[in-house]
Amino acid sequence: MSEATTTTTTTTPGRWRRFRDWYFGHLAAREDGAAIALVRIALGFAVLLLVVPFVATEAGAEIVAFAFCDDDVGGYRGIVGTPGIRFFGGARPEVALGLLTAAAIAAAFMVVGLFGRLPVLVAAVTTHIVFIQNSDVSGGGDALLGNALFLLLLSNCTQTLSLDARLRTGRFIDPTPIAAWPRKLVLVQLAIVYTVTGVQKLVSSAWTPLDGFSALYQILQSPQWARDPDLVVWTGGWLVLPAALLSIVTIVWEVFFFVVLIDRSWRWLFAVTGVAMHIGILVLMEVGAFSWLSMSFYPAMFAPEAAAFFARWARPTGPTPAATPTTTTT
Amino acid sequence: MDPFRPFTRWLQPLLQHPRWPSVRALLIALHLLAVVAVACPAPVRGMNAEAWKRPAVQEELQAWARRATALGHPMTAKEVQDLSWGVQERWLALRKKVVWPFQAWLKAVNAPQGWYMFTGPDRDPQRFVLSFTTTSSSTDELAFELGRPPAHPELIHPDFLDDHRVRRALFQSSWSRNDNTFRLVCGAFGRKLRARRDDIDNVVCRLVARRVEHPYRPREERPDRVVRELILHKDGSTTEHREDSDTKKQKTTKKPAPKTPAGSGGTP
Repeated sequence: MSEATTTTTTTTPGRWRRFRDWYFGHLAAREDGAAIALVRIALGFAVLLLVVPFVATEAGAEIVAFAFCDDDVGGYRGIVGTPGIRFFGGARPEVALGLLTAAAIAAAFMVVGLFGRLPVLVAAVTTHIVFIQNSDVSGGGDALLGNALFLLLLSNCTQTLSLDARLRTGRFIDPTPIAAWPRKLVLVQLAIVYTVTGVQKLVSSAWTPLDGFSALYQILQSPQWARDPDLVVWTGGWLVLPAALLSIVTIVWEVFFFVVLIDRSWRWLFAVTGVAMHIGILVLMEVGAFSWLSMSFYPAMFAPEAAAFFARWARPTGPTPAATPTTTTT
Repeated sequence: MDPFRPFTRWLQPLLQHPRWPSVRALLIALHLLAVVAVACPAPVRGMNAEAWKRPAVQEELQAWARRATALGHPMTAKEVQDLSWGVQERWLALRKKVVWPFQAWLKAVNAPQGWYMFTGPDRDPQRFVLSFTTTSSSTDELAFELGRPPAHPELIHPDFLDDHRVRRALFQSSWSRNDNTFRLVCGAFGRKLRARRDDIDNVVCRLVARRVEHPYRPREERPDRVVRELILHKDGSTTEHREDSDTKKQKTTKKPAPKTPAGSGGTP
């Protein structure tokens, strides 16, 4: 008995050792690149949705001048400009629009997956140079964009579902495994975004039973963010209950979003709820590309599913390759 | 087709070094630590004494005071405010000491971590209203009222007003710590109107407050209040009026305000 106990004590790794093995195991894990490729494609579309209206329409050009340029050239405030934009000629509409055009071209390359990480870098640098000029008109969407592009830059995001793969292997789908940790960082970042946002909301009684979960009913009347601030009042009280239920779903979903990091089985529920909520935001509110940018993170939740889905096109001929070598699937 | 491949090849000796997995693990751990530390909830932009006087904040304090009292700890809204302000000040001071090296890293890689969206409803929102008079008529003519389609789309394009960057600037007119933002935004709209119509005399910007309808108090009176008004006269002088001050100020516009460094400012 005593001998057995001693043996167990000496062979069971300590807590630190177990944590270290777990952590290094995650970092060493390799997986099919379909999930991070889908993040790249979705993010490319989100960047296009964000910048194309600026560069392709007259009103867009006016917005860029108003928000990001000096008051001498259409801006609402004096902007000295960061060294980045001064390098290109200063906080002027033609400079900002030129940089955003470059971002749009880079985003198109991201969608088709050409030139590896270079378009991601170009999109990250150009959008950052423009949007940093005036943080008064910047919000969560820009922060999300910066984070997404930085994390994508760390990944081999054009390994599969890309023209790069087609040029390299003759097929659009290349199941060669890539490092899994960049995708996991994307997932952790998404969980932090939602969970912290939810926790911050708890300071307001309107998101709690203290004020009857009245938050969304009131927020939907905001002249700044609601597409139609009069909608709620026009419905004559019909929206009280649905808005309260949606407030409950929103706060619970946000605060507990971190669960997707712990238990994979919850991911579909959180993802479907998230898509439904972001569609609701897109319909009822004007918050820029925030919803599209958030949803572009979602494929990071489904690495094995994405790999299995695209595997059918990866091996139409020849012997069936071994299962995708995914060692950990967080 | 990856232009980084030559760079990656050049890095191969480093990436194949037996210590590289440990170095990478450390770097990723530091990044995660930075993200978590900086993302921790903190009222980074919320410690604004003026903003705390707004009904949106005061009603929150009253709600928490009522709840504390109901739980057997009698408190007034003022006591809740003092307690909350003190705790938050201490938390921010501590946080500042902890997060500064991480913030430098996150700033360098453009991965900011201020996640607060619709933290609470603005129960008394102020909407920006732009109107003007012409040389032929001294009657106020509406150009636009935020939240409604513009009355003169040829002067202010609907897509311009719908854009969230413009809405953010208009939001800052009422919430910004910088009292001058309202004047700057008003001035920009004034320049737009005058560039598109020659006969514009005065440009009038107003912040009009109106309580939102509370779902459980639908019959509450919700009158419009002009909180702030700025008239830009054709001769360059301005007249400003605030709800909290009975006196009207007439002043001639002096030299333009100094340029502000890029990236400055804040969003509640």
